[in-house]
Amino acid sequence: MITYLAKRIGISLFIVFGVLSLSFALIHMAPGDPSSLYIRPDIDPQTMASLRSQMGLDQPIWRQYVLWIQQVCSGNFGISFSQQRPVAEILAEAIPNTLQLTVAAFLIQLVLGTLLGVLTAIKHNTKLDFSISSFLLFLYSMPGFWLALMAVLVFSLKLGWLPSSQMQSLQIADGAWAQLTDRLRHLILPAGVLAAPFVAHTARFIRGSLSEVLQQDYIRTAYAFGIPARKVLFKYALKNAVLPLASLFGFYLPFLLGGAVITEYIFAWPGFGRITVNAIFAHDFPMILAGNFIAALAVVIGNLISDLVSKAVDPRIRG
Amino acid sequence: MALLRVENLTKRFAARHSIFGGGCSRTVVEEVSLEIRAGECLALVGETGSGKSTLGKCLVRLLRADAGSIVYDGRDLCRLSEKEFRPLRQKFQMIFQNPAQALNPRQSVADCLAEVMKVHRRCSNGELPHRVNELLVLVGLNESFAGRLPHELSGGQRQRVAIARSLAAEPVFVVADEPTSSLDAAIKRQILDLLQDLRQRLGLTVLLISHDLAAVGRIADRIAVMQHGRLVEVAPTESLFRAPSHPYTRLLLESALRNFKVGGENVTVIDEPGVTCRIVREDQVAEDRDSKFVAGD
Amino acid sequence: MGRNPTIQQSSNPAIQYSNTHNTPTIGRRFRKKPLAAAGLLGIALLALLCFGSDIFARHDPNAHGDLLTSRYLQPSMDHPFGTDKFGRDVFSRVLQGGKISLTIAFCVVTLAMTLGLLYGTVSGYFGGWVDAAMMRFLDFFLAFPAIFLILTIVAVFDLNHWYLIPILGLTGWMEAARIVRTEVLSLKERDFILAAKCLGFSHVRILSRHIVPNCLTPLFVAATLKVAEVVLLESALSFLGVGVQPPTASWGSIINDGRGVLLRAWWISTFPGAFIVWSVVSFNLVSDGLQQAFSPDR
Repeated sequence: MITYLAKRIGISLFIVFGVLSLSFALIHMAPGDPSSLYIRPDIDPQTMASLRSQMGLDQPIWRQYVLWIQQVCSGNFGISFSQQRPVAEILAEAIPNTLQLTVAAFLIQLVLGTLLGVLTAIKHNTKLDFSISSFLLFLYSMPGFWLALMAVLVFSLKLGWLPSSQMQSLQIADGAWAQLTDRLRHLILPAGVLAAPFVAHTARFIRGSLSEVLQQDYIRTAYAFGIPARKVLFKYALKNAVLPLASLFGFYLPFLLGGAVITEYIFAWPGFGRITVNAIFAHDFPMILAGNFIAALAVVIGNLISDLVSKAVDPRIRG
Repeated sequence: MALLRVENLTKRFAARHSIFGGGCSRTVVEEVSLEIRAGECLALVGETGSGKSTLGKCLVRLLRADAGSIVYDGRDLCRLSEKEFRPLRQKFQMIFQNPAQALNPRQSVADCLAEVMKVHRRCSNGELPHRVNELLVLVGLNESFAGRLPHELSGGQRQRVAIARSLAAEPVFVVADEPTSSLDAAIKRQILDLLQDLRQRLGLTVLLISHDLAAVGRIADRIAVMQHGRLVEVAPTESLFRAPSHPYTRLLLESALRNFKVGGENVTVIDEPGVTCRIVREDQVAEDRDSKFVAGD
Repeated sequence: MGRNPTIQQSSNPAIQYSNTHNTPTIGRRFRKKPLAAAGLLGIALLALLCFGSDIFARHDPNAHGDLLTSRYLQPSMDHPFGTDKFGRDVFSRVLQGGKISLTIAFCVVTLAMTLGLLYGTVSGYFGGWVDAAMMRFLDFFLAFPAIFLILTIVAVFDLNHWYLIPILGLTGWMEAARIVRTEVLSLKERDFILAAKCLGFSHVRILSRHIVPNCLTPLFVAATLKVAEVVLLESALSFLGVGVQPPTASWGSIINDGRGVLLRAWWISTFPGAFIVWSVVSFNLVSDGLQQAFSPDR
């Protein structure tokens, strides 16, 4: 188990390293002097030269690469030149916000997805199943940004029920309770929109695996023994149908992050995705590189989690 | 006259589990020496996992043996490079166990047969349809089958097409690996009869691999019995049936006559990680079996 | 597959066999799925509308209207989807955008599937260390979240929308490669590949005649799914302003046009989105139907 873990972590590190290298190469393949990417053009030549040597930009490219990798390894992503602050600092502020959003979306999809999945599985091939299934089909066929706009149009602009952007109201009411409800009200639309395709995915997954499990002989046997239907469903069938779901969070993590990019952009949610998009518009390369690094890390960690969880949960692939 | 002279043929399979797990190899065919006579039908019998399929594949060089030699026409096939072997390739053909998998599902019967002749430039393009029909007739089908796809054929028909395909290469030596084991009883007999008929008409040498001693007894000239990768007995069919010399052969015969299913339930390979896999010797298994038969009766 | 009792003698070729057989073909199984047929119809209608936009659209998609009288017009008979802030006809723009979105999606998928097919076949067929190395490389690509990679490339090299095809194609072949590899791994164990080797066929022949044709069905399912995915991805990029650039219309960029005026002119963002949903649903339905038609246990 430990050698397995070590091997997996080794591979993961290698992948992250590769992603970093590719990002570095991409940036340096860009037309123009790479220093113009790192340093604002309006600085006087002398400062520029000293900055260049300070950042190692007067060194040969391979040496720059080594230096840069060393910096990244020590957690130093350089200075964002659209915000003039250390990238690490910006990320430290943004990532918790993104986590709030993704965790909320994950919980929503887990609850709704499981519910709809079980419902469609036990009502397999009925009208209810058909209508829920078609609804789910539309749900995962919708572009997230359009769903977001439509939700804003209906729930914020027309009905005025929920705020359309930001994490909190401009004037925050006092008291923890008021702040919490304010945050939750701001969270509902973005998290719901982010969760939508995952709800559909989870529900379809559960419908598939549960209706298969319900056909199995041991379930028929349980019914034949006179065990109440509800108990059969929850104790025997659902357990086996849901086990593969355990590894889902790891699997969803990169996609949640990818979805967060657009969701945060539309809802002005001050998270990692919005920062990355803004960095791209501002050609803020230290920030973009850091964004790529975080994204690759998320994929790798996600894969690791889902592997480990499915190993821990499923007795057949243990060892 | 010997067509093939096999000496001390050995085939091992690497059974490595992981990069760190260390090598563990399994000897599947161990020091087999055998002479296959031109024009004969030699049956190779033994239980599942005894290495008879592997031996068959080594003989037609679908697998390369690790040690030993196969002498054909004065040349050791094991020592030939891929390139040197290429002109001989078509002379050694194989018919497979499961006809459902032996044909390309997207290729019609005619294309399947024509492809072989095209690759080996057996005849001009104009003659192809004619040759295809000839082959179909040869294996007991007719031209109405030419345009069909494998899924439009029954199991027996597919096996006939597979046989026709190997004949298209005009082989001298054909290994038939359990050609009937996935077919119905009635079809089994027909396919064996077809093989026998073709062997006699075309002067083929056939190695018939089977676990069913009773079935091959009808058409084999000689029978070779294999157990745990070793050849335990080779004898003309009649003398083998009348006076089997090896206890394992007796066991096989006994079970064949009593209609016992041989093989399958006994796992005889002990797989210990870290050490070279050990194979349980025949006496132990035979004892096992004997006690089981007593209990079973 | 029942046995044919009419075969009696191996050497008797004169027996006539009946030509009837009950195995349903894939086409027949596919046609039995009403939803899949609906998807196919949806794709056909959409393609007809978008690629025949010259016939169906009565306005030039890029022609500005009278800025005083024809801005933000409600949907009407003349402008079925209303007009935008320049007085352009949204219906014409949606059809025009569809043409671009669908063309890009089709080209991307063709490229991605070709790459995936080549990669997966080589990796699966040759196996061993070749396979191991190629799979590591693929894992590496999978670990690069496509949207970040694409955004980085687009940010570094200011590119026009036709570059989306190679970029999306080069970042989208991994799924197909995996599917093909799995298929090849199982195919190459099948006896007909062994038989082909035994018959002395070359690697090229075995690959091109025996392995590749048998991988095409799952690849086709993956391709229909991929079209839906690419339509979504391209529209998201265009929405962010890094895909198809104005004034060229694409579904994503039209939605972006209407983003600031949702309340005043809801139609600008709503209709192109509906078209995206229409196309994605159609492709997903066809993909579902194909998958069920191809899987043997149905």
